[in-house]
Amino acid sequence: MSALDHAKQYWYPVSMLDSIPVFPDVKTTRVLGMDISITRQADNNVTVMQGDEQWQVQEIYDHLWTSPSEAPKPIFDVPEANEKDRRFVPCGVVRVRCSPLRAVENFLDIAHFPFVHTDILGSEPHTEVEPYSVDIDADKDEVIATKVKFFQPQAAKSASDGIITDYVYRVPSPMNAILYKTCPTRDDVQDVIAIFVQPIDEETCDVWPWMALYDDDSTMADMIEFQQLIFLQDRSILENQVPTKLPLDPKMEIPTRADLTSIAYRRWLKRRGALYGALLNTSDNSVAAE
Amino acid sequence: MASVAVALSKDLSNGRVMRAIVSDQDLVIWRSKSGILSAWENRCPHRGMRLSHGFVRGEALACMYHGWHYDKSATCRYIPAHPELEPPETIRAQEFQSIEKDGLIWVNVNDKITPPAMPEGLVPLRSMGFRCPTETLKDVMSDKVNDAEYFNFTISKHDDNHWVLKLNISDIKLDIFFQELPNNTCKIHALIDKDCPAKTKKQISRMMESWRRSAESHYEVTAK
Repeated sequence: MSALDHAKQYWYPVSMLDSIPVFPDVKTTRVLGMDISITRQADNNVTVMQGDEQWQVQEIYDHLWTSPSEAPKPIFDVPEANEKDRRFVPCGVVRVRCSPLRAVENFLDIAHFPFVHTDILGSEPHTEVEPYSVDIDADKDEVIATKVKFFQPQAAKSASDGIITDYVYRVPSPMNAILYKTCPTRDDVQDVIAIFVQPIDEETCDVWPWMALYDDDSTMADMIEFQQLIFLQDRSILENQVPTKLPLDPKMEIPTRADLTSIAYRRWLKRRGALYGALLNTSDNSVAAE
Repeated sequence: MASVAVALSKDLSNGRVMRAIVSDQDLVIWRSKSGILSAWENRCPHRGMRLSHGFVRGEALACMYHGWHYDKSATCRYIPAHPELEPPETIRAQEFQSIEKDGLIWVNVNDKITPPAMPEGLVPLRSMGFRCPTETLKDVMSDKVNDAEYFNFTISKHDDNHWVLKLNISDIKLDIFFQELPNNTCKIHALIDKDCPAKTKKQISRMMESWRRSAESHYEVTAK
């Protein structure tokens, strides 16, 4: 199966639900290099067209999802989306000139917090990454990282002081990742933050961050602004990684123990043939200047 | 492939980092706090981040992404995620040959560095970037040897990438080094006689800017 055919089996986010244009207005965008147009019809159903072909749609996690496949794999489950006392925050979209897989990998990385999200998600000298666990959940075939801990000066909009934040990460499909982290205001629950990645093509993506939080005080605008700031900081990294695609050959980039999640993610992608946006061999490693 | 001038020494002060490109090779050029110059592949071996976005910490270059430190031998010496770990010697950035001579920084990405022998008595004037290939710029310069607005000059070509312009009004010489860049862009690095009066230097600088206007608009028109 080609990298593209493999990628066609999944659902992809293409809009927030509250910003789908109503017919005759349409939104045009791209998925896996294919142009699509999106509109909400008079009967309230949303249609996604790629040329003359109509794609399946579903409305879930505050986003519109679509798939080029006639029989896509079921979308991953986020049980917390049913917890009615959470606040659900779709954060808009960030266009990034990088492989969708690079965007997911960066989301799984904590060691960059002190350097990229300085004085927010991390700060020197608190740079050490303690050992943590990574597994493949056999039932769901997901990458799961647990017991991740990191010192954070301002873990969330609602955090007033530095705290040791606990994280759990899930990668339920190649271009989506979810984290569960210490809620700064409550001990008994965890905040949920996800990135849903729309692959424009192999070297461009639209990242749709989404949060499901226990935060009764911050305004929606404040929470979105906080998350947008984090993602714009990440973009300055993602658009400067060479090569643009994610290398799966372990000889091409050197990891350490702090990169266990990234190592597991790369192996998991390779094993399942999720190669859209990936580089398999060193010979593909074009590091020429742009 | 010959050695290529990539910058004026004075434009890279101690503790600073810059990006340069030579024959499609992306480079980070940086100077340690004590002034040691290095030119490496512009890529951190850990996760591919361009090192030109990094920052100098004393005698090391730190990657912007995860703060890994590389010393002057391009060897990784410190990984902040594991402060106690002594990194294996095999974690290294790829080094290229570089040298400073006569106020210029030279790099050779293929070979041992051999900066050309230069005339005595030159000082750096300025570097300038152009949104056109060197060929267009060279054509414009050749057309402007009798530029009434600035100076008349004669061109002697030391080699393809090194032209010497002799201004007719006085005996002032201007040495121009061309640097071809990707996407139809280029740079020049200019050195001038050390005795050139400040006023003339300023006029020469204006003249270079007029080359840029002409070359870029000429290229924009012909490229369409």
